[in-house]
Amino acid sequence: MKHKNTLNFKTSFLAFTLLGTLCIPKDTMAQVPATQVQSIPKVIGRVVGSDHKPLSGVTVSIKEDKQNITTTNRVGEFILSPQKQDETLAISAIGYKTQEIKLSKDTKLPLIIKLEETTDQIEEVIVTGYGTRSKESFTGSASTFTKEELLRVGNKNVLQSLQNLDPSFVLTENLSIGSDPNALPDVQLRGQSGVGDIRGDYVGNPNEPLFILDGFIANLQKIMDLDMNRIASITLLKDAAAKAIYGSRAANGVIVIETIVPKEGAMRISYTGNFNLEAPDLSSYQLANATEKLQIEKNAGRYNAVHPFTQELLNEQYNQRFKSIEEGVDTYWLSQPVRVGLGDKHTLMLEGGTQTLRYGLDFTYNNVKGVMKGSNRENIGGSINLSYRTGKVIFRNILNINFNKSNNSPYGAFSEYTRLNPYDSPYNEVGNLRKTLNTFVTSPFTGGSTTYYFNPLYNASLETKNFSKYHELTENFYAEWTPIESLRFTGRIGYTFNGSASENFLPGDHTNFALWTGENFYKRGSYTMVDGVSNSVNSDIYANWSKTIGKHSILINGGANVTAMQSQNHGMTAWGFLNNRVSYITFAKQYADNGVPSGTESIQREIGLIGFTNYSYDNKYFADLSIRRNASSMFGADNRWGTFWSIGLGWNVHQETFLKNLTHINLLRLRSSLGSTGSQNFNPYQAMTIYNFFNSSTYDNISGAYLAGLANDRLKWQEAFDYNVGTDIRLFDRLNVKLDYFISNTNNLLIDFTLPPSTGYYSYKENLGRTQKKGYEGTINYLVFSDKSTQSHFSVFTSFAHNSNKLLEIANALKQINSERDGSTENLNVPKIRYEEGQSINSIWAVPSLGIDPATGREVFRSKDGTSTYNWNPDDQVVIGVSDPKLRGNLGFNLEYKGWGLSTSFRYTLGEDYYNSTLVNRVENVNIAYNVDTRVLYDTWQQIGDEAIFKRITATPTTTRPTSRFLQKKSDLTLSSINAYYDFKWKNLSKYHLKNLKLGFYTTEAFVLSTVRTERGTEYPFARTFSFSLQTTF
Amino acid sequence: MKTKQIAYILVAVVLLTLNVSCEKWLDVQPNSQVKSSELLSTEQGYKEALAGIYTLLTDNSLYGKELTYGMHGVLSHEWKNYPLAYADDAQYDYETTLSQGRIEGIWSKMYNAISNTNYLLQNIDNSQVFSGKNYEIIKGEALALRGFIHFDLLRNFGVSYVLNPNQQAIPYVTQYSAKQTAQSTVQVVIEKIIEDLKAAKELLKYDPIYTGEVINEFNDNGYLLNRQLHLNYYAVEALLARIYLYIGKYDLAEIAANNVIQANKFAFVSQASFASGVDPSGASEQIFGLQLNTLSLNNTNFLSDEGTTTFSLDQASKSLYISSTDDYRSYLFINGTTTNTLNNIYTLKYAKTTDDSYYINKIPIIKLSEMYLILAESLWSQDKDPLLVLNRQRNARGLSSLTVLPTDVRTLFTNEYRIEFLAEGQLFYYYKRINQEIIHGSTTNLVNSKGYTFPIPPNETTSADRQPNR
Repeated sequence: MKHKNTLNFKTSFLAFTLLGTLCIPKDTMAQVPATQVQSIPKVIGRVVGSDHKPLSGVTVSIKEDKQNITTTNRVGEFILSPQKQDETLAISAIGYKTQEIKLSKDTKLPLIIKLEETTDQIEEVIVTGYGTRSKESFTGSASTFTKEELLRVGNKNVLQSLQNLDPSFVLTENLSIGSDPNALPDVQLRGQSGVGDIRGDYVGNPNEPLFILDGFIANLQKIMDLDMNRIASITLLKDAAAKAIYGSRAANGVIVIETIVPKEGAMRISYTGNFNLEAPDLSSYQLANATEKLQIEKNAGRYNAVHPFTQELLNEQYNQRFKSIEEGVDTYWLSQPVRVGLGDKHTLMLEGGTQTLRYGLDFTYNNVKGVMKGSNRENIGGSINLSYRTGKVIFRNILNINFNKSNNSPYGAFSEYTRLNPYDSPYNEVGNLRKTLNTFVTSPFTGGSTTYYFNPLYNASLETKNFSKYHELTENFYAEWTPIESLRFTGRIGYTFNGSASENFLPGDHTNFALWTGENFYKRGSYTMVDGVSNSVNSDIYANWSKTIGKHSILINGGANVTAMQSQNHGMTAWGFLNNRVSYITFAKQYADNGVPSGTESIQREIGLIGFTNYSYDNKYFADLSIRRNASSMFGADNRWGTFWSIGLGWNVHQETFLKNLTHINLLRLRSSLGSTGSQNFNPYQAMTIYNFFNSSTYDNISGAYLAGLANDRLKWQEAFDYNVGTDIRLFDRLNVKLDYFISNTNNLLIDFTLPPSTGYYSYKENLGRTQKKGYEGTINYLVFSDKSTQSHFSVFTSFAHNSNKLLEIANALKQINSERDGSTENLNVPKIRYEEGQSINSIWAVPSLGIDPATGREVFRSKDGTSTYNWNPDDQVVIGVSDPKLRGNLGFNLEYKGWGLSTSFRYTLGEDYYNSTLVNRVENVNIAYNVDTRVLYDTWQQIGDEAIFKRITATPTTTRPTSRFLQKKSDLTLSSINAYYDFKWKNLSKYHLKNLKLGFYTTEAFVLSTVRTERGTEYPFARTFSFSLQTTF
Repeated sequence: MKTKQIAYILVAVVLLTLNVSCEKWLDVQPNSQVKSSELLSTEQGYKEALAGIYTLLTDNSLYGKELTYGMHGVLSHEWKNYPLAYADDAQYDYETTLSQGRIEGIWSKMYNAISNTNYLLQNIDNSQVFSGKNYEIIKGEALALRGFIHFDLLRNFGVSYVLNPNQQAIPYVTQYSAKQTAQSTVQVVIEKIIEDLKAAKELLKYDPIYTGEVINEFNDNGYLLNRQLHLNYYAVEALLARIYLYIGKYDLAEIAANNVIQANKFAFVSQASFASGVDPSGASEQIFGLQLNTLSLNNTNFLSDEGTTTFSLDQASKSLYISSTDDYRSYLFINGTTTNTLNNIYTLKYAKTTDDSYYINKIPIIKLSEMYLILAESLWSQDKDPLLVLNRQRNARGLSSLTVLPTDVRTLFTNEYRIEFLAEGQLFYYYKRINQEIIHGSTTNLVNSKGYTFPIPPNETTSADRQPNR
């Protein structure tokens, strides 16, 4: 009915118009001046890029009339009909500077509009997380990287790429976790200043920098799982002037990450796909084969005995092994649990909208498959990004959801495989997996011991579970109000919810329980479940005022923030799963013996007041001043509020008249800063007087409470006082140099202060101790060749960094720890960390060695008084080296020619003192019951007169205590990434309905050249990664 | 103008309330633990904190093992057989790892309990949360605890009073703080203990065991029901008697011991209770005992056939204890049954009672029989006749009365201490009090070797300035 009406209306309207036109008297028409019609002609034009190639999809609008909008077609042409005279045409496109053209009747048509690219625009600002700052007048030391730069040096994750870009950002090498996709790396910015986790005082890594994602604190896991395609820029804030606005959390540096803001225009869909291939790198292993291994055992006297019965038993066991070698058994155990992992990653993004309302949607799927069979990390996520702008107000909302599941390999730790003997076969005669590979019995009499060799492959064949997962929801809302041009108010609120769970199930048949017999038989099998929830709410408001009066520019920013975080987790362990087929916790026979539920919980609250100001005179001289007062529930009640501040001064020398004429000096800036920040990566309840309850006993029917410790009401953050000087130089428009030198003193180091037990306690937390770190860093890049017309360029870059640290003052507690460690009987073979004033935190302590005595095969040491001795004495230990490299950094080149591109990046470290524990554990301290390095056979002392490197080996393992014999100088060169690509921007893709297409190939960590031979990836092997990527926009 | 002023005031008020609420907001309350201010904001919290101190004392490093049948049993050579780990203690060698570890455990755990006590005392006067006379009773108990713990620390780490009361001994700690407390001499420590105990006694005049107030399960959930598990009024009096005897104030010891005995609140265990195994640890005669939840488990592990590191007697050493089968205490022994333990004789003092309610899990700390022995010794030391008192104690144990005092009265006391306090740790202190050079079962001269005084543990001397205590 309605439909009919509309139709009727339309028809009648048409008829009326027609009729009207016809019926208008001639003279009425004549009254309209003819010139007026001609004065508002259609604007016809063509938009091209700097290469004169047409640009499609460019938004062209009338500035005064927002509704009047169009986009360029495939060949870059557009038609627009202005309603009035003398209007302004606005031409905008992503990646190009917006142009405005004032229309007049003299404007020559068709317009040819050439748009300039804005590639380097992002480099001109520093994103501090509290707005952006012009680099021109910023006194702090910061580096900013764009998404393109990050993707050029790797496509794995943000942290990997940053490591290849900035020498001060270091993922500490962890030879044990290798390329485990589920292991979080240890991150440091500008080296370490905190004393390591001595007695579990710290939560996580004491040197971890602060991560800020879209204005709010994010944890390392979130950053690692962040899709790189969502990133707009990353800024590393290194010195006090840059980071002081983050106050008590900023001492270790701040990493500010901003995600992309959707651009207006017609809806664009872009897709990025990566197909990754991870191949295990086992080249660092040099294990004995079956024949060699048996020979080594024989040499070591494993099959020699005095008693004839024992000898007979040993002979039998030797013969059994010999026989299996004769039958051709030579198992290469290392290859058993590994695979080539094929992973894939997809990102789909939609964006568009009008100037008023813009939207962005993205969806990510990432499945990283590690090289250990069955291990992977899967992320599924998506976000909705809305931005609304009207007049003086902007609202922006980002909602992000991420689901993660991480599976650990059912094959267990890689180290199990490096230990197994090659003369044992994992399969029995009929080809089934054995559970027990072999046994070794030392004596037929009572008192003889049996070593069992279990088959980890058998465990992998069982139905085990070992995973963790989380789902996270982040909702961030921003509002901005600009009442007048120079004044802006901003308010933000962010909420994050994270729910996590992990399960570890081993059925009763697992070899871990093989020796549980008798009544314990029924307790075989274990199931551990842990679940956790964490929430955080962050909010801040601030005002920003900036004004330029003559030669004076002033910026003042002030605000306040509030943060509340809460987290808890709980778990339990159940025992007794005798059936391999049921893998659900309810099938347990019982809880773990004497087991109680486990759990942790924490609440943290914080308030901060921030103010910073920047003044610059004539763009030549500028100064920064920032101050933050912040209070945290973690600090002692008497020391709740802390003040952090910084002052920075800078000088743009190139703006001076005496340099203005020297055209080859494009930029010469000197800057310096000093200030204080804090770090508080410690237990949130550290400063409280807390009662615990006796949970397993009562007294007279009352559950008693006792004090957990002696609280320190004055406990506060660790304070870092940073000094930084730096310079930025740009010469000949080709050479960029950035140099920085810094000193950072950490005061109030949070350490245990030993108390006389008559106070009731052994220690309490005190802000004592000081460390100092010093260092320099620099990046240089040189544009060798550049041709705008073919978009070709070739540039080389290198960067370097050095830092060293020193303990200036330590408390008696640390001295106590030194003696405790000397007395400890654990890990006798590795140098112990010792704390001594004047020495580096990373000092390697060992007894100087005089080599292996050719007569006896024993090691000769030099004692403190200079005499030679066979005895290892902890008091003879001296600092034999420092494990900080003399220099570390990156180098490489970027090449692009007519759409073809090649980038490489190397990572190097030079002159690091390294205690080679592979040599200690796998060659010299070997337990010949397990497989060993082949060097055992060839380089070990065998008989009198041997000038050997390694001391003699006996059937029972002997421990080599820390000795200078195993100190080596380590220098590495890692080919961290190669990226080759072709960009189809030179081809006309429109017939395939594509706006652009880029195909790329990556390989990461392809090889490591090192002066030191050591086993890399002991618990999880390292991987070489190859990947193909495809980027396109529809 | 006026509106402007009002505006300023409003802003100031808002800022002030913001500031106050800020502080409150930042003062977070953990879920997994309880903040002290939270716990001590209720009477129940004080009761829990007090129960916590008693529980701390039941640790195996303290009265749960070492200060009763463990280390102190070995030191007094009560046991014929003891674990190899105690070999150095038997030689009074306190410098080896194992014995030093036990000594350090005693020192640090005792002071930890003292610190908990001090924290409670530091807060109790500012709390108005108590009902009835609980303020007086809880504070009294806490003061008594402080004195009690310090006295046993002094008996371990201070030289015997008869040797030199002016020798530096232990710090008498009265604060919950990281500040170290200076050492005091034996004499000064004793004075401070007595001062605390006297104050405690005054407060404990409201103790129901003293007032005779009838307590049942309905009064305050029966909190004041089991006074013997707390340092009650009579426990403080008994402790004073023990201390006066230790410092040779026999007249005062006599009065105090008499006070406890005359009160008639405690009764000797009957023959039937011993024989049937209902009350082997003598719950009814404990003036103060500690409740140890794991007592029967400890008994199994350390004092029975089933344990691997056990303390036991043999036939020869048992006969030293039990001279007559009439002695009710002869019920408290059992022979080992396995081939390896056939010659072992275990004490049944801490065996699981056959009656679960009142008698279970109690370790005697101060018993009625000690009051009789203190009274007797005080009389004897003042040249008064102790025979009547001694006979009352003997009769209570099933032994016949002595008609005449033997010539060697000291041996009579020694033997009585040995049998009466087996596995209770009092024998070593008895020897120390009289500073006996050679004790039964050892050839070491305890006085010359300074075996009666533990050295202050090294972790105390390295971080605090301590004078020699031996």
